[in-house]
Amino acid sequence: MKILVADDSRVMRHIVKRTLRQAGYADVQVCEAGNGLEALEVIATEAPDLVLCDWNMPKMNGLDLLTTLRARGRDVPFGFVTSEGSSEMREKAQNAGALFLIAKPFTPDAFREALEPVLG
Amino acid sequence: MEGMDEIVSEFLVESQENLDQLDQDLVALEREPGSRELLSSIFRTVHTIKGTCGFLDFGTLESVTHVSESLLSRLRDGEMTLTPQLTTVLLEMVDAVRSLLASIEQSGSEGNDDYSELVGRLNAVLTGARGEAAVDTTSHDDQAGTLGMPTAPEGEAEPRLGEVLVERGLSMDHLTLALAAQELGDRRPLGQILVDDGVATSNEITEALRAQGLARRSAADGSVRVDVDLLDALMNLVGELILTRIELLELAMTRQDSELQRTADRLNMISGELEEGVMRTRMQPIDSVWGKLPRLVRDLCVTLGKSVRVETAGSHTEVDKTILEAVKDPLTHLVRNCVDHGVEQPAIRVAAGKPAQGRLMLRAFHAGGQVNIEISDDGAGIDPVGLRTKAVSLGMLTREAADQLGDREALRLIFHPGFTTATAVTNVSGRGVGMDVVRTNIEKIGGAVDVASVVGQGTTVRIKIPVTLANIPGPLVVR
Repeated sequence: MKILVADDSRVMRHIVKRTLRQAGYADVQVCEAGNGLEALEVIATEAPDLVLCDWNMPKMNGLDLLTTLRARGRDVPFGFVTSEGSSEMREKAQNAGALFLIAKPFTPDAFREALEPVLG
Repeated sequence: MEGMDEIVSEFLVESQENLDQLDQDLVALEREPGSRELLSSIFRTVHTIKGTCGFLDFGTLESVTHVSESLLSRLRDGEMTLTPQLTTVLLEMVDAVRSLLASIEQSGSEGNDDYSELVGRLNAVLTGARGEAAVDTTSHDDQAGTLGMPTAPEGEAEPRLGEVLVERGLSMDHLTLALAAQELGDRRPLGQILVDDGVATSNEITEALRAQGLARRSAADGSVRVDVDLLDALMNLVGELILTRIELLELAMTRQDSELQRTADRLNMISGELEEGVMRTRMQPIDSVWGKLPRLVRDLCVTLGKSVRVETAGSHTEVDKTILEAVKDPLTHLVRNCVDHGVEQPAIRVAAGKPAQGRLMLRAFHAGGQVNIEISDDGAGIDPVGLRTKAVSLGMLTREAADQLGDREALRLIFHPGFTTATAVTNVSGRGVGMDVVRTNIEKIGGAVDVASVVGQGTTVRIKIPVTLANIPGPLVVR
């Protein structure tokens, strides 16, 4: 099981990884990316089972990343982890093909709830 | 909590880096108030700090960054425009964040300073703006165009999309046409134009973007963070190694043992390369010191009612970290002097036929195995006649000796202890005790300082410093 954590903040990637562990996903392999373009590359080379992605990132934001992925026919499960939790954002995310949107600050419970249907 | 300390210290490091960038971005933003790139970068920094605070339970920091984030998002979306007052309050916010972080670093908590007044002012600006800007809410499509042509910050060594495509077989003519279309106002991303022109497929564009991202990533992946103390310890060990090497070489000579001699020679060579390598790890771009100067100049200008533009050249010039540390204060002092004593009040400048805004130029370059730093202003300059008179009145020189001094020598008088030329003592540069201290500090690290000036046209201070510690006698690194 492999999860890509994409966020421009090193600290936030760290927090996401820690929350994954606390939510019971201690055994998953985590790969990281610091922006959307990097994430595109990591997805191509690492083929993760799930992408946990920030919204606001330099170079290519999370929504552009998701749109690009889908346009290229890549249907890797994709969820946002972001502080942009407005209903407008949620709708945009859903329309682009995101499975869930976890709002910051999040809890291990929120992770479990969102990830269980995807990873089991 | 498990792993929390590590996260907090990582947070402190990351925020510190971001804040330094933020200072520069905010000052740069005053020059190009509409720059979405700068605004996005500033917004992201504050946004990241705020977002992380939510996890780390730093309530004060969160409240300060929260209101700033709202302000910045309005600026970014063009619903508010930047005013000097707004910049000032945002810079105050950066300072507040900085002292909160410092307190967290020292004591693990945010401390007891009260920032509610600042938050109140930020809020007032925000609500004031909400009242006015109800009509124009054309929210620009967030980061439109990032896909086609990632706009790299200037100076960043990163292949452009066009370069990558040409490398992959796109004809230069097609690229030139597409770029020309953009020049002429075509707002489509470069990749899109090429696809629409039928000279590239969208697959090729995506692949090229990927390759471009790859080039950037490998640069980031190829570096690690190292504690300076560790580097200093390595430096000392290398020093010891070299001393031992010399002993061994001497021993091999006296023993007349050719095998030992060969081994000693090899050790000699390897330790030489090791020394060079360790020296290189200690190099930093001079930008790491300069980066703070535009903010300093801005603050001084606000205090003094002046206007000064800072320009830099050669900010990537690399210097040993210890040497950089040593020139930091002298550089700061010289820049203060320029703004305080060099550049005239706007009215005086205009009367003298100069632009109201002064210009401060920082230049760094390698020459003659040294790093040269030049700090020049287009201010009033220093009058050698005045300096001679001053030196005589201070009893430093006799009238005859003073008269015999050439203009160049007379200018150097400013580096003498206790020599001050400013007619008004200000609280910015103090009583002019600085220049001799500047000279002493620079000479201490094996450097030299000189000054040239033309009355009415400006002053240039030139500093020459060694690139590495290698040539410095004495135990600078041994603490």
